Amino acid sequence: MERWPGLPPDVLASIMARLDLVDQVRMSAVCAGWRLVAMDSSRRPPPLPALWLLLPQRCNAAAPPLFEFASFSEGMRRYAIGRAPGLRYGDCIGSSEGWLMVVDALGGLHAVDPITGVRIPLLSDGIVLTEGDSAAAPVYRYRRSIFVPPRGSGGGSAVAAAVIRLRDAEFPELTFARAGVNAAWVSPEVAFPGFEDIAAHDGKLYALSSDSRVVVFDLGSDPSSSAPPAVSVIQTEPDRRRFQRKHLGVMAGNLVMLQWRYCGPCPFRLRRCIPEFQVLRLQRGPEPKWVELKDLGGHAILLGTDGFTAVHTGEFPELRSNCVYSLVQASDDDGGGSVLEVVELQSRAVAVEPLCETSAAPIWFLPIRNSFSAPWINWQPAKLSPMLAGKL
Amino acid sequence: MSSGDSGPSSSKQLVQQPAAAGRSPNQPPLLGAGGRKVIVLKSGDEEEFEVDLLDAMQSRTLRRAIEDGCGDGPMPLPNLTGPVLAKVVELFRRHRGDPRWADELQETEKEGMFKDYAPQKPTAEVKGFDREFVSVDRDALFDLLRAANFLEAPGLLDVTCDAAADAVMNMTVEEVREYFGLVNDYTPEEEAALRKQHEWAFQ
Repeated sequence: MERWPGLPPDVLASIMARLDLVDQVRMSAVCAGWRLVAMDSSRRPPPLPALWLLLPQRCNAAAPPLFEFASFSEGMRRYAIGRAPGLRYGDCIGSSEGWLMVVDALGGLHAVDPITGVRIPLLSDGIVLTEGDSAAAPVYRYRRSIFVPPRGSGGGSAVAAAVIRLRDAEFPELTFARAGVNAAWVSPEVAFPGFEDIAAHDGKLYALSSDSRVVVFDLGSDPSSSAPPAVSVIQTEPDRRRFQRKHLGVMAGNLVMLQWRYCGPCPFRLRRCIPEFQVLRLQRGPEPKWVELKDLGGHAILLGTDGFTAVHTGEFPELRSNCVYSLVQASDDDGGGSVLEVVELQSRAVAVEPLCETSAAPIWFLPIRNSFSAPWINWQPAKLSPMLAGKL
Repeated sequence: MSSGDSGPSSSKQLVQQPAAAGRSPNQPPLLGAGGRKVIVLKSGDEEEFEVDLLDAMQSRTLRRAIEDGCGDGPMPLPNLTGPVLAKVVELFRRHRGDPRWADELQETEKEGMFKDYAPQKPTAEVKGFDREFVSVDRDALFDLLRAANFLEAPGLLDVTCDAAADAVMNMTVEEVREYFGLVNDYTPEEEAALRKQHEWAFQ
């Protein structure tokens, strides 16, 4: 029998490029010939843990719809992974717990695992404004979407999903849903000027308000529990210094805020500014306050367009500790494209590395092997219900 | 829709299309009925198909041949059968202006040939046609894949590879072997080692 009955290796490679990573690896077991195609330089399975960059989708319509990753851990080796049908042209807004958060053409939000190809529809009430469309339905722009891991978990599962989005380009609004077949999205009504960012740790969802207060939703460890989450507010001294953006995250079990503003010009590019970063840890106690950190205790911070993740350099030896790695778009004056800026917190030493020539910045992605339980897969998104109204 | 391997045995299919405007006058005149610029493709089993010159440009292979001046007489394509070629010609016609070959377009546009041939987004109708186009049995799909490879037609390759990937996506390794008619050339030890090495993918 023929090795492959007349199917040329190029065609086979094109078919392979449309599969998720698990399928690509599985196909290598079909026969030795397929293994050569499946395991070519771009399709070997990654060593985990790994640190990837999701490169912006190329505008070339002739290219098959792919998630294209560059592995930071492996000298920017490329992974080309097929996109699930229905999300071929969606925009990725960020990542969380090994999932990519992708907005489809109709404004619906999905979580996609590029390793297994599993897709979880999260929110579907967003509407993309088209020409001649009446303004009856609200238009949402997503800022951040994350999963909330359960109490005492090392990852790989979640008790809830949370989203910050801008409704009709106005205040950022927080909405979250607990896992389960009848999951409903809840939008707590708050007196705050809006939410800047969210973070999750140990079954809790933390939301940072624009005036530096933190709202804590205890979502526990049991996704099927129907009791409303316990809500508490951590009041801190308002920070009067001006910063462009504030992000919330978790580092070694501590709640951490990263804020940045532009200061002096970049030593490499005259017309460009390098942001000044400040990392603060929330000191709990009777009078909670934000304390500035000059030493990240062996951690590095990965800042993307949606927010940041703190990782330990013991796990990722390719990163330098005490540094903020930010992905930024270079201005047209600087020749466009996107660059990686590395800023050492203490010395403020800066390193800049060009990444790719596209107009959008890449997205950090930490692949893990997900094993979310079935309720997530069958999750039918329900309508918004302001269940927590009046609670805060 | 008839499948590629059991299509009608009509001896000639005419592709009805209004002429696209904006041609350069210095191109060799290949006028068909109604003043369109057409070329004739001849399948391995001697069936002839008229295809608009612009549509044929979706294939890099055909474009090269046309630019080399082979478009005057019937162009023989011995490794494509009539039914396959009929489907391909129909797809080219439906994909007219499809951005999936916009790259090709820009190249040819430099020569001033296709000024008014602006790419359009694939419409729901085209997407429906694409779905229908690959609703064929395995052998017909393989024929189309081989044709896409030979013709170097990005749009055709995209549609057929999507269909093949969809078919493979939820198959076990054994099912893939059967689908593609492949022989497992691993020894049991080799296969076990491979599966063990990538255990995470086989769970």
